[in-house]
Amino acid sequence: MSRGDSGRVRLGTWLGTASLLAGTLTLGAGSVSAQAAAKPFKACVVTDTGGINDKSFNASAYKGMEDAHARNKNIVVSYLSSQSSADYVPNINSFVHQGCGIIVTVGFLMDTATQQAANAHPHQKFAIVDDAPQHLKYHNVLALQYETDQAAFLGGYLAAASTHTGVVGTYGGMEFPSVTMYMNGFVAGVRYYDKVKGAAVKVLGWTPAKGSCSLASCGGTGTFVGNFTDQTAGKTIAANDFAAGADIVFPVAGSVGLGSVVAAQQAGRGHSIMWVDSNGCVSDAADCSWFIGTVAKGVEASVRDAVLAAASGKFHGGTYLGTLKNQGTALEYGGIPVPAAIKKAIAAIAKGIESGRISVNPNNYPVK
Amino acid sequence: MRLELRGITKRFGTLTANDHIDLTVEPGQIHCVLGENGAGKSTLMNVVFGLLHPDDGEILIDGVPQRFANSGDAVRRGIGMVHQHFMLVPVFTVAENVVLGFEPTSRLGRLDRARARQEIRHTSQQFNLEVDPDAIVENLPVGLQQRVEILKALNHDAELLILDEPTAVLTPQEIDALMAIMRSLAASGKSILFISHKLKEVRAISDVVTVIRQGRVVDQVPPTTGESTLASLMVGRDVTLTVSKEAAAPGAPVLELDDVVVRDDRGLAAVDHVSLRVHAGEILALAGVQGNGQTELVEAIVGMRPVESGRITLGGQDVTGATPRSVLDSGLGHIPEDRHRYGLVLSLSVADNLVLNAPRRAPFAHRGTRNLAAVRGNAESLVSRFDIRTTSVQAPLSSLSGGNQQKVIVARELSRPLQVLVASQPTRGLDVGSIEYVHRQIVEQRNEGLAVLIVSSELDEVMALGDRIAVMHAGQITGVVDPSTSRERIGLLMAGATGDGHE
Amino acid sequence: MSESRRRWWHRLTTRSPLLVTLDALILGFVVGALVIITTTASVLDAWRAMFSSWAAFAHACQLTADVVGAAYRAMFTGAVVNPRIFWHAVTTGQGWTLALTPLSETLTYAAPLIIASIGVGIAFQTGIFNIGANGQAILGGVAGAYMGSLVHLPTVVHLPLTLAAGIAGGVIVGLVPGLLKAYTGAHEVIVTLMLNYVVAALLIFTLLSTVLQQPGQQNDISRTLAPSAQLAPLFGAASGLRVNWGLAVAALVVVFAWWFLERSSLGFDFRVTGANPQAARASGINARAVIVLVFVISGGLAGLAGIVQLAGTTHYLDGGFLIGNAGIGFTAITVSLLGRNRPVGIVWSSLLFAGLGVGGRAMQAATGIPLDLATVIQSAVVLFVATPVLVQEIFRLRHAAAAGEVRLATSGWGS
Repeated sequence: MSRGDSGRVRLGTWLGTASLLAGTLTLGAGSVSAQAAAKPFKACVVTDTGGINDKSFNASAYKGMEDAHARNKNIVVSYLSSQSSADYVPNINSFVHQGCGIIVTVGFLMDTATQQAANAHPHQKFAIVDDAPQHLKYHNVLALQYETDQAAFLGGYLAAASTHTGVVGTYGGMEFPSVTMYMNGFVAGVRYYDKVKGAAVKVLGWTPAKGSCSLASCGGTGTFVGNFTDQTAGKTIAANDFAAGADIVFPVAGSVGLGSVVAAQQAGRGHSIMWVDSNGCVSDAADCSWFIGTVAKGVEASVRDAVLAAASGKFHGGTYLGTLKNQGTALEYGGIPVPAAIKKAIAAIAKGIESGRISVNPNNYPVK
Repeated sequence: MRLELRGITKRFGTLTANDHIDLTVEPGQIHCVLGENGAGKSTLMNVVFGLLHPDDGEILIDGVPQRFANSGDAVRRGIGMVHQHFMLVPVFTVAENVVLGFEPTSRLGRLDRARARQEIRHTSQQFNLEVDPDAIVENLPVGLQQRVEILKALNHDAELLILDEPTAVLTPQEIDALMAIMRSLAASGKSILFISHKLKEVRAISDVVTVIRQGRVVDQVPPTTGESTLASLMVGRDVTLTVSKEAAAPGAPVLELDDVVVRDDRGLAAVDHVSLRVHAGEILALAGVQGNGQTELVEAIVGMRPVESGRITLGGQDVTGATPRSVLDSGLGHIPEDRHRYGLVLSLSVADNLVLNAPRRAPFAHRGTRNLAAVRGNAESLVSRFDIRTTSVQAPLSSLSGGNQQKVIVARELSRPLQVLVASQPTRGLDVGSIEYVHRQIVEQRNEGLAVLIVSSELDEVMALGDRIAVMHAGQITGVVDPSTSRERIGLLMAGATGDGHE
Repeated sequence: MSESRRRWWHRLTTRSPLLVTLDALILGFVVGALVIITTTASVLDAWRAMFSSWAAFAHACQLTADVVGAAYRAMFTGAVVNPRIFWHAVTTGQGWTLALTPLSETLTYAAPLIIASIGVGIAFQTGIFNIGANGQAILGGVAGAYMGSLVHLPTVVHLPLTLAAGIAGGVIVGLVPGLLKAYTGAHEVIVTLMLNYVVAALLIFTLLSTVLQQPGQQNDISRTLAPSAQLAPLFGAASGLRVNWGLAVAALVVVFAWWFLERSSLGFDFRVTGANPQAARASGINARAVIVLVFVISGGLAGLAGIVQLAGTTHYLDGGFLIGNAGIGFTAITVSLLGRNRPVGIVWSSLLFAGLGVGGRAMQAATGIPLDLATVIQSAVVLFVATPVLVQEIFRLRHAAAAGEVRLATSGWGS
């Protein structure tokens, strides 16, 4: 028997396997359509390029979806991650075709794609996390927005009250209003501390512009990495801040901040990080002892509530504004102990901001 | 050692390179395997040396069947091989090269140079292989490098030595020296398997000649067999070995070189003030051992290497420093030395290769679009005119035999309007049949008034073809002589003796 | 067995480039299935219990078939056609948009990929590694964005000018390594690779400049292309299908590339240079001119791919334009190799890669299996194609008698 003949036997085996595979495809088809009868409520999330494990917005949004599922088991969660901005439209369209009860999109970059889809599919419900307010045009879109400068103000106060060197630092991922709003509130908090305590704590990395700050526009000059991924840059910037005398740094740059945590660890005890967006002691528990606190954005809760509302037929388009008052933004303490007196003062300031008595605009306070 | 091959068969896919080959080498015998290129000689040697595994058949040493997993096994069983391309480390000394792989070491693993040197001296003296153990290999002439290879094999206690086309790179004097060494080795009881396709050498040195053709043993004959009989056994038909040509009728000079200096890749003057004239209707043969500047000289003529100083004219037109395109267009045909590198594109079709250096010429192209019908028509006519054996003109060139590939170049160059033909080693690697054909073509062109410059390191070829013979050594022309000059005299010129000193 | 059937069978069992590619495709999906099995907890649990009873074994088989089948089925219906929806459209005349969306999406993705890959393929055929197609495509997009969003003209003038600007952008980036290689011998792999970073930074820089930035935005987003500069949807905006005239541009490029490589004198010079640069030089081909022209053509096509992506699909630039996984200039390298650097082969491999990407999205949306599986399959296919000997052994193919050797890589790196 020649080599060619034995080859046929082997190939036959393979062809057999291939037809078996084809058989399994049809089998699979049958069982999938059988499952479709249960009619669950499909909650779908399109993440931005970070994906659902970015320890930041995308992760928080996905967590919010899962929390909704935990409360209402009829809700089935699925997600698509965008690998680039070119994926926004097809990702949203895929979910429209999947018959999702609500489609949550994450990040203001997805604004255009979300609104186009909302226009094309008026019966499809959408929620968009962290969108800028002025674009909103469609009744079937819920924009989730957060006035993070309120909590950042508390963070700034905490940093100013905790620093031993009299210098604190901050920097941003990219110069977007949703980023600079944090930095602006942080500076305001420091200046407020200086004013009421007669101190002169210096802030590196952000100088607010004149005028007020909103999610549409929040100007100033400061330090930016240029992306939300380069941890080496985060390490370098924080190390520079520490070298310039700072002992607390507030990175507003997603996972870039992890590099700053490393910088703090290399600089040694006495240096710490103010984390951002979602509680650092939860998302990055191993490094909890290096966090003095987190200026949190209530993405999880707001997404969860939006999904639950949609599932129970109570969805309304429009704007949700996260504030200190509705816990859409908050200061959470980290692994570094904070004296009760400072916590008490911060709680009082929070009340003041909620009531409008204390302004979070840094321009209302003298620069020391 | 007595080596016996029984029914050795080696297949590559559908090709049977060795087909039941039987062969016996007695102790102290010089056994020649004669065959054309592609007859399966090298395959057979690689099987014997353990580099290839036979599909069938047995190798016996002194009656004991052997199985070689690799060449190391063969070396341990006393087989040594001197490859066509030397396997030496150029920057090492002779001693270091010889002991490479079997280094004598002191107790701490340090190379024992003194012992290495001593071993080599011993072996050299035993077999009359004089070579300085401390010389750096790359500084040695090719003949001595080959000697180092032989020493290396002997140093590994080789009882049977395989020499694969050992004379290809040697001067006539070096060939004589090699033959003396081979005889003394045989006299001391070593067996030698000698691969060649050169009839003169085979007859001069062998005890027995085994002729193989297309993978099969055709015959085993004594070395006294006549050259033409050997040739026809090898090729499988009658061949004429001499080039018949009438006396040349030279016309005006066509290709003129005046005081040309050309540098090689290392910046050394490889062509050192050379002046030559090639007339219409004559063949000027440039003889010389390889590596004496011929390659650089030809590259300079065809525009592929800058000319440092001097002047080259072609039909009265200055082509010094011209691009290859303009040199080719002004009527120079070039059969390059290394045809696979410079003359052909193996992955392209026969038809494409036949228009390789004239793809834009009418009728092969019109306004940037190729006329494939014209290209094919051209190919079909050339294939029949030059008897190129191919399944189709669209077949990739790689599917042709070496001889037919060379015919493609010859056909391409000779089908263009030419003033001068420059042919470097035009028959290297060709079998007897193809050599005969290429020679006839060249003579025909010369008869029609073409100026021809042949560059060859084969003395037979130079003497058979040349109307005049220029000898080159170390970048200089050591003499321009008549083809009736004696081989010895030309050999001396090739070795660098200038004409004046000896006459 | 009849003679014709025997011949078929012989072809099916003898190694050939096409067969190796098809077999590599099968193996790629087998690898994908293994990845699904080993990363799906329920399936693994079922297999862990397989020794307890025949029923458990049967259950494990059944579950594997269900999960893998559902994934690949979703992939197919998401990338090509969903028979049920298609049949519904045929019988009722309704829902054609939904029925044709998968194919439309695949073609939308494939169009710029085909163009960029052909640019890379022409360079490969000339023995040049253009690793910089992505940077060339990005600058094509940037140049096109200037022309398309800052100038206002009627469509008949504006669209061609925008496409031309895109080509010019690619040519400019391509000329850098081209001239450097031709005149200084700088290795194109290093130069083109590094230029990708330069151009990516340049993209952000221009997007944050007030000239190109969308008014009222502080983000890295450009102005939207004027409608007169956009490649309109092929079946009209009302069709709801994204496939656009970029597909026609790609078709023209395929025809051009075929003519160029197979019929033009310059293309012949390119192929000779790629197959044997020394022989090319000895035959009078001007190596410098060829190197520069390769980069002009390859870079120009990459630039065209960039502007087709911009004018046909995204309509505006942002910081993620052709960055990361969207880098069609990088994907083009793999696609071109898979298509053996030939125009028709590249069309097929582009469709395959686009289909796997689009289908992978549908698969994730439907089954939750991450889209990255598509990348796994793509990479595995390329890996198998790159190792024909492995495929030959797995499928026990006969050795091809004649040459016809599969050559994935072009000439070596050193040159």
